Amino acid sequence: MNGIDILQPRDGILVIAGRDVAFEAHANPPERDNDIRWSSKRAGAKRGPVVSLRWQQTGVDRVVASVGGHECGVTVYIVKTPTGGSTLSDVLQSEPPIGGSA
Amino acid sequence: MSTIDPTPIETAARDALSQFAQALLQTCAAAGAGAFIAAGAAEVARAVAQKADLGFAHDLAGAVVADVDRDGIDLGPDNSVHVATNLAKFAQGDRSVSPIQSVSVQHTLALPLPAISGNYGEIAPSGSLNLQVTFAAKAGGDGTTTTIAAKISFAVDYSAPEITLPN
Repeated sequence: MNGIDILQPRDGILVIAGRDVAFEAHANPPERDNDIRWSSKRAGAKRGPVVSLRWQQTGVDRVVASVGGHECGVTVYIVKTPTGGSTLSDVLQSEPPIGGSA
Repeated sequence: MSTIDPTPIETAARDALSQFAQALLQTCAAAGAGAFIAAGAAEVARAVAQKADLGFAHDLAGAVVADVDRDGIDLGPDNSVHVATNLAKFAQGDRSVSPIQSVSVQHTLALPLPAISGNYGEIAPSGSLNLQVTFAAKAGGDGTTTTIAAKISFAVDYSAPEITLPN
């Protein structure tokens, strides 16, 4: 481990807008776990080894965990479905991101 | 440079192909494939619809987008349902794509057609019915609209074993 590792979620997963997504990271040394800071452009900032983040709109976001000058991050792809469901039928009806290109 | 005279090989291949084609045509004409399709259509349609439902009910939360967009998703006990996606492009704002590109169902049929035989041995038919539902997005003044197209294809296949030709 190089200062900090994200244990979950995996990089590049699909998440559903309106649902909490659990993020977990560990610092090296472990005594610094509580100093881990989480930041993202669309889901705000939090602190601690385990946090929940939630998005509201379709889009792409990067979540970065950092501690003591070390950082690592994961990308998430968000889709906003009509009912908050995550089946293929739900995703098929997702709202496009605001400001997308034709 | 090859020293093999191709003429006997071509002749043998042509003869085998000709005999195979004649036997196939005679078999299909005698068996009445149309009657089979009419009798089994409802059952086949129900089976294909159930497989399609399996695809549409699949949960995508937590899927790794790059993997799914590249490889698609194969579902069902025999992987007969294939889903193709454009999740990354859609989330990135490309309004020319739908997040789901297509759902394809392949259904293998038990055909009551007789086997055909000749000097290539006896060959039983295999049949398949394929359903492909494709989703396309189009951005316009009022937002993005999704169009849906469905294509059904039915295929009967008689495949002869490899024949060793004289050289």
